[in-house]
Amino acid sequence: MQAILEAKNISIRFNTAKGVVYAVNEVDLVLNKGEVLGIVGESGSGKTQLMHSLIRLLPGNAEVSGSIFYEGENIPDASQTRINTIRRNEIAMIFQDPMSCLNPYLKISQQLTEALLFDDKINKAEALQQAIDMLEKVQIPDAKQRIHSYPYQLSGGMRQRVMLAMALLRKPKVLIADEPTTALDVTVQAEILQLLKQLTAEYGLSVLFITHDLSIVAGQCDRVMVMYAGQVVEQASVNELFYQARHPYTQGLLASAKSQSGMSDKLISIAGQAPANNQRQPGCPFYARCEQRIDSCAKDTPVLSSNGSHSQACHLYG
Amino acid sequence: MVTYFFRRLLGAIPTIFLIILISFFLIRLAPGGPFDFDRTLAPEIQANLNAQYHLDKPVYVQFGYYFLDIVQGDFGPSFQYKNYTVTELIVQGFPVSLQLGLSAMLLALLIGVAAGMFAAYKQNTRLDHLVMTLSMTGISIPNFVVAPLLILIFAIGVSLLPAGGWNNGAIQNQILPIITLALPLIAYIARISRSSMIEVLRMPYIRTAYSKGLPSFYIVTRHALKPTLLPVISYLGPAIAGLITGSVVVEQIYGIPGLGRYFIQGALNRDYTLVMGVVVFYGILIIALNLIVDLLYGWLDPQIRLHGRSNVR
Repeated sequence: MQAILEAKNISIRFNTAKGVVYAVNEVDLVLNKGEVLGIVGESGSGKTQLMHSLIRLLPGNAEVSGSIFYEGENIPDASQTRINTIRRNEIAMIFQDPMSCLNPYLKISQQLTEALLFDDKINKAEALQQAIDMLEKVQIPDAKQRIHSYPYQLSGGMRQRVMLAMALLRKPKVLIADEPTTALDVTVQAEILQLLKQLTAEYGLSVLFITHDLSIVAGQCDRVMVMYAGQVVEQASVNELFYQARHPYTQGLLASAKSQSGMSDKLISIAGQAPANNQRQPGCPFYARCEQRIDSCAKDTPVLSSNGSHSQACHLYG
Repeated sequence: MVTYFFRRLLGAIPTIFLIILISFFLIRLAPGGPFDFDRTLAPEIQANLNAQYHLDKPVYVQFGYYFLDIVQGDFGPSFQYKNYTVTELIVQGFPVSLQLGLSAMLLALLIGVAAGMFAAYKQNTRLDHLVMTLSMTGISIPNFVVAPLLILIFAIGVSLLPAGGWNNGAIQNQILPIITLALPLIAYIARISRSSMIEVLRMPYIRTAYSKGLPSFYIVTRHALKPTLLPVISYLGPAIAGLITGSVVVEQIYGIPGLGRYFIQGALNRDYTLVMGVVVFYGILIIALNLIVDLLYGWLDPQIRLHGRSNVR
């Protein structure tokens, strides 16, 4: 398999008024052509920041170290113009909250077509027609009329469809979907996921799918990366992760997901809280909450070690 | 939209009535009257004058006479400028004041919004701090200090511009008054648009725009400008009131024959009808302009424009 997007040793720190926040620590990420890679983790685990760093979308107070290559091209060293071109034509992103991610003051027709008009040598009418076609593709009824509405005139599900159309219109090769269905209710969520899956296949997209919902991972992804406290704790194919989870954190997540879906009488949760991210301590970040901890967990930070395609950062697996 | 417009017009009526009522009694509280000259008049002449203008009647009866006139659009005769009605004086003075005020407003909007957005874009850099320091200075220095200072520098120091006078509205006569009027407005508008822009640039939809590969300049002008302008537009109402108050002082200092000067002359001479006329005229003007500002706001914000007022309390 050929990698399309590859990040090595990514660390992200934020310099805030209250001091340094360590959001992501030494993470490696490989997205292969045509695959859907799920990134799972609780809020604050650094998954969104990691995604934003891939197209340099982080705010000015973020410090990113490590290397990022998109089809062999070095992203951190690219010029701003080049980055803009990549964002327009290569790597598209859809966000969690379609309510606030569309500009409420501009018609969706403008928001859909503006990026197209930048480099493609097409005129406004053609861009508008392409946008209408794409809206039909994401199953927005009356696309011809709807395209002239403002975002507030559309429902949440509609807006996420518009976001999706906006991303796909530019025929990207990579799609970063940052919890695209978290803000939607369950029935709409299912429709959007179905649509996403269908269009991913149709356009041959490589997708980074961020979520905190393991059931979504099972339905959408080929491979999964589990993040905890800014680090990758386990990485495997979907089947391996669901049936042979190794890291105690992943096992805990799976147990609580199963209990939530009604397979058990009790609601299972992982006791404790994620460690504060304003300092870095030696040892495993999951140490305090781990039920299988051993002595070395407190002293040495475990690194990812792999056994074929399945890797984990845990001392239990040497 | 149309019903909203007329509802607002109806709502203005009690406001205007209160303006008339309060200012009528306030000016009569000031000691003296319009016919108290240095040279004392014969008592019969004094009595005749008073009778002609109903000044011999009790104040509330005077108010009745005045109110009846004013609802018919008649501001009455001026007590001081013989042979002139107040309406004629307003028609003479207002175009001058309007020209100054409009120019100052346009100048303030252009420079203020540009400076504020620039400062926001360069947030927390030296340039940002420089713009904010200048605007704080602009807010703190009153116009009756700025005006003599400008005269001192540009009229007396380098004799580039006339120190005062109107000269039938020649450009060089307008420059200093317009700058004096515009300075505090520029300062306020720069501060408002800076903080508004900073807030807008943090919005998720701006991040979406960046993620689409649009360049910064396009995002600032197409995505951020409209929402940035909204608080500036709501400030325009008070700004217009401030301009009018400012023009009273500025016209006096530069010796400009605008409405503000008539107002001061009228107040000093107890020219009741002239003062009342100017106050009521300006009151109506401010109400009308505020209504226009609100309509403008709706035009910028589609959610207000298309839905009108919500009935949810």
